[in-house]
Amino acid sequence: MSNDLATVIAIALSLIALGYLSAKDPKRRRVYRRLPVPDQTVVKLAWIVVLLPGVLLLSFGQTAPFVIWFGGTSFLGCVMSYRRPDQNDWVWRLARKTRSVGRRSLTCPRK
Amino acid sequence: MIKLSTKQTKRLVSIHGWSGVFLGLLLYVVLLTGTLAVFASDIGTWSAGGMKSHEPLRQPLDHTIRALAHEMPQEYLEEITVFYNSAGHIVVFFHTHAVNPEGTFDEKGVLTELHPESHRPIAQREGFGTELFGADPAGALDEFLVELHVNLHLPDPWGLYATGLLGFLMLVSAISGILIHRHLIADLFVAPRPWNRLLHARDRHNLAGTWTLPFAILLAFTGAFLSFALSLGFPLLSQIAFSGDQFAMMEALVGTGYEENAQPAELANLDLMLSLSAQHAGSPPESFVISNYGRADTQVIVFHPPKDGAMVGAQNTFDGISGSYLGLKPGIGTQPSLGNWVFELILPLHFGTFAGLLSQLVWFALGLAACYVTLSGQQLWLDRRLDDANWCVLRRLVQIVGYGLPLAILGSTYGFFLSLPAKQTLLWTPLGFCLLGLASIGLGVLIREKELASKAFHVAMTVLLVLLPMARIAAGGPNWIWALSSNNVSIVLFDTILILIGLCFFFTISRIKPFVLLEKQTLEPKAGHEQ
Repeated sequence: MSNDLATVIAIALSLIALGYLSAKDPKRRRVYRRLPVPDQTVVKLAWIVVLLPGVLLLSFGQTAPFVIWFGGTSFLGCVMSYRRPDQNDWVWRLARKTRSVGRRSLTCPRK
Repeated sequence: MIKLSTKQTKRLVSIHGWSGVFLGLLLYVVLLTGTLAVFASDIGTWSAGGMKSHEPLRQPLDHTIRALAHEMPQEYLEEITVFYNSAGHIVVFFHTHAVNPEGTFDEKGVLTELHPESHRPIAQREGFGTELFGADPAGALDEFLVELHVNLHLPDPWGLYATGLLGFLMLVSAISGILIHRHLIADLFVAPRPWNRLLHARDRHNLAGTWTLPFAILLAFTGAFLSFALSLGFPLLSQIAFSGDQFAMMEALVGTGYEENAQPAELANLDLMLSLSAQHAGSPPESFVISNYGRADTQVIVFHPPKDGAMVGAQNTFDGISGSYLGLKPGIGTQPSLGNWVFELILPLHFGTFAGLLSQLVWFALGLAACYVTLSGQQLWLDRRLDDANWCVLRRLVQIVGYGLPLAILGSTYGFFLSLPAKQTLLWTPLGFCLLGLASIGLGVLIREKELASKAFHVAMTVLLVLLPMARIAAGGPNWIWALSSNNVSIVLFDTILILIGLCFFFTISRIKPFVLLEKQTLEPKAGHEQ
């Protein structure tokens, strides 16, 4: 795998975890009058997922991809947080739709 | 959360705010031009009409260098620097070292530009390095942008002092920002709240500032270091440690690593050395230097960009007579050291060109974010003083400079392309910048209503950006068919990006309107939308 591809995957992984953190962030939810998330244990796990690609890149001696990952994640994380929760609702609708389509296709039809 | 007393917080807010108000617009100029300078080499290639050959130093050069050296005065054989310019032409600079008329340490010699494939001389000029390197009409645009970023086109050393101070200002703003922002981590995901103008302005400034904080500190520190090292550090060092002898200082800093031997001797095969160096470095040669050509102490240093995954490039040293590989040469001194390691890391971290397009894109994005933080900070300051008529001038100025600078840069690009056929780019590039800059000031002064002025600026940006690729082709630049067939994809990419940015400006015109407050209730969760 080329270094560029590895860096892009690392940034994407961190962003997915940041997206989750952003959606579950207590202050963001409070400010935008959303119900708080009672269980915060997954949040700690999500932070580990955010940082893991960077740790992996460094441990493999990939200093340049690490620096790019750090910069890219910071910038895209900022862009993602800039959007209001109501502007991101389509992501959740899409996720729910995908989940229901997936469930339907996996369920055996009744005879 | 960092706890500060109310008095300390007030003082820090004042430092943060007033420093931004006084020098924020100049900082914005340095930041935006620096953001564009990340692509300086690509802008150079794009404006020069593409690379005529890729990796020009991979081709056999031994015979050409020997033939050129044969015609040169003996004193200019002290050092030969070979590299390639934005158009892919090979540049060979035979030179010695001397003090120029301004009294600074310089290179003096003959610069020859060669066709990358036939090695036929295209141009030849003689003089001091500071004059010769800025005299290429094809490189006027990228040179102009880089100079604007590095020294604001002020005379030396005042320009470097100014940009160095602006680097420190950015550092002060970043650190004071950390201290006054009490909920740095807690506010990391809070999107700008649209139900209050001030809150909205503060949130967007804080959000962008917080996420890009490590890079703001990094860019500010490295930028200030580079400015002051050149303008203050080296002259002071030469005065203190070398009694003002700049030659001795440079020799001690760079390190020769060989013993003087003026006996005549023949240079070993240069092509073999270059090929061996590429094998050691894992990347093609970017440039090379031959010291003491024709003498028994000839040394060849080959410079390479970083190999895949690395931050720093390599400098391989060869014995010029036997052609044997002597090892890696540190940038400073002759032995690896912590100082050299830090110095070599500062350059790629500031320039962002260490990993090709990907690192350039990230640095470009972070640069734009820094511009946004600067302008949004000023906007926040002005929004807090909306009823105060004394701040009216600055309010207009922020808008004029905010839009006017990109417009003026576009003006310099038009000036460059329109004067390229007559080879008058060195005059018209800065003139185009000034003309569009003045037009922007006129536009900002004449249209008093803020939203209307913004719309006018957006229209101007759209027109200039969309028409720029056409102006480039009309000025004799290559069309897309040639660019694609000659592997100059970056030209097509640049043109497309310019048109897309222009269209973005066009589609955002309708969104420019006075700040509309959104009610909190409209953002309350609806049934089925709650996660």
